Amino acid sequence: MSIVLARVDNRLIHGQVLEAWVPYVDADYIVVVDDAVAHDLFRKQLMQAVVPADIGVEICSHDQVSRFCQGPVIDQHRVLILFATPEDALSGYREGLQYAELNLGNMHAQEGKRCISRTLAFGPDDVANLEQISRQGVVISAQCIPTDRSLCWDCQCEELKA
Amino acid sequence: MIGLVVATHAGLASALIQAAETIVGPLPCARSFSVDKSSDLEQLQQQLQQAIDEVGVDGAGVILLTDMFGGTPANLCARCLPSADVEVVNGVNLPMILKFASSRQNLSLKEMEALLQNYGRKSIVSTRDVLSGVKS
Repeated sequence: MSIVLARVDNRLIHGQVLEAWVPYVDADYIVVVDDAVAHDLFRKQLMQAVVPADIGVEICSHDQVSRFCQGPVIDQHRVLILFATPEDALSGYREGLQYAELNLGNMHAQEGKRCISRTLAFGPDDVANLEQISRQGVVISAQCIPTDRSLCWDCQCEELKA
Repeated sequence: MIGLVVATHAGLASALIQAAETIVGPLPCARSFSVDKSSDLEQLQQQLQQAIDEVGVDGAGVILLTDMFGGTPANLCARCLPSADVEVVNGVNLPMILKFASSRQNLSLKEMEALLQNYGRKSIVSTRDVLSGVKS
């Protein structure tokens, strides 16, 4: 399995992913795991359309993940995986996308969430889901774009719970 | 009169409109819409819709010019396509805004969309190529 980046980003495919992360990790395939987009034909088509022709793209719902993991793509490509939320990332992991590291990119501020940076805000559910992911041995870090300093999630997590 | 929303990352949109106004004077029914790193998507979508409503006053429709196809501003604009009387052209540059300003009275929304795509492409030129073309 060749997962070159697994990322939580509520904007899914957008400029930071296409112009910064894809070249940085040299990905040639983007996988979005998101029920809302997978079930909305217009949003799905749009998301596929913004990906350059030389990069593969798969938008799948959670119930399609295990089939995707059994297919050839994941062995033959350098895959970048996007989840909108930590909940999606945890489900995706359990469904078979066993990434070794998880990047936290964009989780924008909403009421009742606590910020650790300009782009990352966490509610209690987010923290609980990330702790579960961390317990699987996944190394979680916060880094919006490759030139940002990477923050270790474990250190932030204690502060969020305090 | 066709309305205009310029939608970009950071402060580019307002700077582009400001630059255009420096050259051709005030642009009525034009708004900038900027997306920064920390903005929430749903909030942004509402702000964009509000900008569209503000400039689309007389039913002639609204042109949305974005900085980059695939970027968040362009993705938000694309989501307005089914519900609003808008066309979206990506890869905005200053000549496109100037062309828009000088043609907005005479064209339909669809004609404007085609014109700006062509004009935007044509406006990217190498000075050396232009000069050598003149000489030869």
